[in-house]
Amino acid sequence: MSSGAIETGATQIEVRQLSKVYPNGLRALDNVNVDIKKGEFVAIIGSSGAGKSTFIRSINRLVQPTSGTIKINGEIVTGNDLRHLRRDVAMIFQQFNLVKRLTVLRNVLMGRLGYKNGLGLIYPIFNSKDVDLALASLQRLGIAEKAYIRADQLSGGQQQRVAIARALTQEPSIMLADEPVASLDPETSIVVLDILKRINREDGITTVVNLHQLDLAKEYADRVIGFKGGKLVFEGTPDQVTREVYEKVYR
Amino acid sequence: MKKYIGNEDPVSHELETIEKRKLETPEAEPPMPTVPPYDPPVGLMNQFRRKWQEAGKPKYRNPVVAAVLQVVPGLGYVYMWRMAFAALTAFLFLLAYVILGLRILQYKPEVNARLATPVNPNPEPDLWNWSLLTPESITLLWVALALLAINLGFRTYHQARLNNLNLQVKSLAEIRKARGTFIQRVLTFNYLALIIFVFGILQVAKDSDFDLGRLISKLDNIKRYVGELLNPNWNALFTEKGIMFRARETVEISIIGTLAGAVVALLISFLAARNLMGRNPITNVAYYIVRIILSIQRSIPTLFLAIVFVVSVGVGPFPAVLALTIFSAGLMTKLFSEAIEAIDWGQVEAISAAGGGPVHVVLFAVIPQVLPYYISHILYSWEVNIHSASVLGLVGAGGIGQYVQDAINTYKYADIGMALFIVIVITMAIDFTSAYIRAKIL
Ligand SMILES: Nc1ncnc2c1ncn2[C@@H]1O[C@H](COP(=O)(O)OP(=O)(O)O)[C@@H](O)[C@H]1O
Ligand SMILES: [Mg+2]
Repeated sequence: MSSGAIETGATQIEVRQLSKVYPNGLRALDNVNVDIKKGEFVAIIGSSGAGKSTFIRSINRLVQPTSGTIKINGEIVTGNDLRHLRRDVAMIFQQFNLVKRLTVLRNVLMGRLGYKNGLGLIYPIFNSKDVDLALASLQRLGIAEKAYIRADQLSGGQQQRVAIARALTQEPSIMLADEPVASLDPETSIVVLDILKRINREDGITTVVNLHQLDLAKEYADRVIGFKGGKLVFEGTPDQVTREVYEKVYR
Repeated sequence: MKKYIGNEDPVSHELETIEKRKLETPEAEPPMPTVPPYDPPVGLMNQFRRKWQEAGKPKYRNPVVAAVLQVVPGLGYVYMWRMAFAALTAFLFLLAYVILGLRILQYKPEVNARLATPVNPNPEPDLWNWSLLTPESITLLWVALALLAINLGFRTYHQARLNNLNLQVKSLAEIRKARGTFIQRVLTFNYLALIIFVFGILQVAKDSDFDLGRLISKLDNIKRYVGELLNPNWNALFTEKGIMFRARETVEISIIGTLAGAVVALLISFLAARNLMGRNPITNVAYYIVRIILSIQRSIPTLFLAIVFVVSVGVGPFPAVLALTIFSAGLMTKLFSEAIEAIDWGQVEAISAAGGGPVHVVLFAVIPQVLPYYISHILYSWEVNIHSASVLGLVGAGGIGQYVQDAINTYKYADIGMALFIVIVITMAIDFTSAYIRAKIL
């Protein structure tokens, strides 16, 4: 989180020959190879069922890949130390996935669970450093005044901001977002994506976002990756996304 | 209950009908002369056998009819097992049911006589002796198994097709095609369940001696007793160990039983929730073990539990508390685990995606979601338990039932009427309060 010099250019996520076959025999990812650089803002596009979610969830092992490897910061990800991996790779979801009956602050504190060990695994106690971090994240997202309100009382856009605050509180180096604006109206979508972009720029957090809206992907991403039928069919800068690319990815 | 008022009591009626059967039976068919009547030694198992034999023989003379009537409701149970567990356990259950059930029904003295030896000319029936299995039983066993296999097979196949449909089919025409032809639909239609249901009902009516004529002929009796009950004796309320004392005991039994059951259920419910346990082979085994124990537990009637505890720890409210604890722990475990299975899984994913461990998931993603349901289910169990607690006294386990039991023995019908009135008031009060609170928190 040091806002010092960000060495872009170094590969942070290295995906090699990644495949996923679901138990029902459906091949959701087919031999995918991608490199994602430190500090990059990558948008993944593709129609529904193309494998975007499966790809992004393979990175933090919410989905167990069938074959292939993923390296993060040069280390191969195995299923062994998942908690360590996941506190460094934060995630936000289309449905926000806040614990609705808890307060906003409590939700944001969930971002500190990855750092609890020993007795804290049975009953985590959040110390003042945790609370300070959580409040700072809320402040940064402009919803500090909602800290003691129950999460289900907020609007969709506010809930997604709480979810981002929760992710930030993890002090991650990678942020994954699976359709973060698909349940939001156009104006709120822009607010949320602006926030993600700002965090990406200021903190140098590598950001991978699934977006099915092509225009938003072109506007925010440094690089666009296109999936179709589980295969990677396009990789390039936003200006390279032409009419033909659109046809290739969505038809 | 040993004493009855009036000249028409259930026991003598039963004796009468048994006499009638005895009279009718030999006329209907020539008796089997060679084997002298078998008089088994006293013992629980033997009494069961006796009962089964008596129940089976006179009713269903034709062995095929008898076997079909026996197998069909059995298939119903199997079907429920299949719904609740899996096809394999259902098959095993069917096997056990059909073999045991047919063996008991097929018991015939002349077949049993095959077991006779010079030393023991009158052998007692040995239901586990395979050499006594008649050809009809074996045939029916195979037919039943084949029927179930065919139905399961078609349905499984059909389900697989439908599963594929969700993922791959795009057009309406394709969906129609996947629904299958008329023949396929007939084969996959759950007609078996329908037949089982109809036959099951028929047999239930038959077995429970459902007889409107008898009810009407006894209407006068009923009127007389109800009349006495409707004229309650208010003086019985506040005597020593009177109705109010016993009513308080009932409420206390139900409260303690419910709370103790809730504590047990709280711990076990996590193990009985498929979505939490089913993801890992080890926890999955734990899940199945807990489920099996639960289904055994649920099949034990509370009254039976109470009898066992009255015998082992003595009369009074304590055995009732123990019985209710076990009963409501089972009930609440089921309700609690269903609440867990209905949670929004996204919240679980969010906690684990933030690096939380399994206990964190339970603490922060599961408990906040299920808590209001838990409270509601505890209140509901309390409603059920107050009903049970009123009855358990009939076997000596304290509470208002104890009062009723004592009053029956001393013919104080007006006192029973009073007790009944108080039970109704208390139960309704608790039902209303609980329903009100539950509506508030959900
Ligand atoms: N748990 C699952 N089991 C079986 N198939 C799945 C599962 N999750 C996703 N799929 C299938 O995998 C394919 C890719 O899904 P997904 O990665 O969610 O696509 P996207 O996010 O691009 O819409 C889809 O066809 C989907 O139906
Ligand atoms: Mg998706």
